[in-house]
Amino acid sequence: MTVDPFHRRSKDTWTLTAAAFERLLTLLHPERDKAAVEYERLRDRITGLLGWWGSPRAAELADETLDRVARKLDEGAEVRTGSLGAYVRGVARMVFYESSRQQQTDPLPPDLDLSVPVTDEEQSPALVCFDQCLAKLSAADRKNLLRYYDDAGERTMDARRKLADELGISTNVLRVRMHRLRDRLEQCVAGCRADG
Amino acid sequence: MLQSPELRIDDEATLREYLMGRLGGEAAESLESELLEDEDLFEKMRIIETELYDDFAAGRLSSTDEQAFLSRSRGQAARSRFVFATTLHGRAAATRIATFRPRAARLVLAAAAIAVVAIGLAFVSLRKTPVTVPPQTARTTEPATAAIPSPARAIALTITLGSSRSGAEKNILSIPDGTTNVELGVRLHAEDVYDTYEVDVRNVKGESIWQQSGLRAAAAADTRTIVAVVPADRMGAGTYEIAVSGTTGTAPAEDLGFQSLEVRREQ
Repeated sequence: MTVDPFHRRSKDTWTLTAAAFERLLTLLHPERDKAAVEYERLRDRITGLLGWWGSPRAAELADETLDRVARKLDEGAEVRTGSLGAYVRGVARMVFYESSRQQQTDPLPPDLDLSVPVTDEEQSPALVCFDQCLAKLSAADRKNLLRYYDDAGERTMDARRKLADELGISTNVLRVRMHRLRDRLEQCVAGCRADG
Repeated sequence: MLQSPELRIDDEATLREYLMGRLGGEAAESLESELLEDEDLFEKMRIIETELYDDFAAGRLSSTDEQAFLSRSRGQAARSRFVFATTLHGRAAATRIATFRPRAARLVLAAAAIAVVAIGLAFVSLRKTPVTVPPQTARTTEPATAAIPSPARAIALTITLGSSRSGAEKNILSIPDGTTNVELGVRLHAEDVYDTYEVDVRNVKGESIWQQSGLRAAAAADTRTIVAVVPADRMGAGTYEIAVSGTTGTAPAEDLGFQSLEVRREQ
């Protein structure tokens, strides 16, 4: 059985209390409902940052980061206005370093290497989930998404401009809108594949 | 490393450099702190990251950028994003080829329920070949008919043309070893009346692996069906998409729809 000293230590020495959590929420927003939304958004951003640092356990470490921030606030730490990002980053970096020391350094198995092309065996189950998730989008969203991501070489930008014109929006708004749609689809596919 | 004090952290080139691991020191720290505070900046970074996956999947990165990207994008999550980007672009490219007609949008949900109709009456009548195929799976090694030169061994399957590739049910074709041809029947929509038809078989990447044009529809039992004969050796195990277009006179070909097909090879 593998023991993770990092987790054992944090679990053994301190657990998130309601008071500490409340202090964190208050820091994020004075209104409770909005604070909860801000908490989730901050968690997503920390997860993203940890992912960019190369953590394979980004979501888990984001939770640990937020727990530690809450703990520090509970212990009297002060976060100046406009410096929350820097403060949270510092804590996240520490959590990441500690985690990295525990991480195994085994080489990645070949199928996780992005330089290996996607095989039919790998793509077939992904396609089934992709089609199921695509079917859940509205007909208009589905059509626009597939048009937007149709790479036609140098014609891509022209095609996207045309699509934006048809929808009566700027190409930048279209870009954001399509990204959000794609993000939903990608999350759906990930969930579908995880369910097997 | 980019560490200019005049660096604009919301500049897209800067964000891209960060994702490539080429933004260092205080510039990276400053950007990371800002990312944790600014939801819009974070979303912008996400978009650029996604576009990097797209560029990588499409082979649009320079070798230097590709190496930088590969060194930063490892593990299961990165692999899953790569597979997703490949799938999305493959589907989108295939859609361009088989563009929906206006009526197709109304049929999207119905298309999800479209399943293989195993050698229906029309096709049996058309082919004059007695075959029995279980639902969703077609398999026969009946002797070739006039359309298939003897001693070819053919396997037959009839699918109903859909208007969306989003059908949750998948058509499955098991091809026994030694099969030379796949007789692919495509049941058309009643209103799809054209002089001739073309069938295009594409792999998961949207690449055409086989085409047959000049096909004429046969009408029977209130349905219209075309039959294409695909060399079995062109269809290895994997997922394919069957796209059909129709032409009348000198008018441009009109895309009629498509259907997905999973091919399994039996030894």
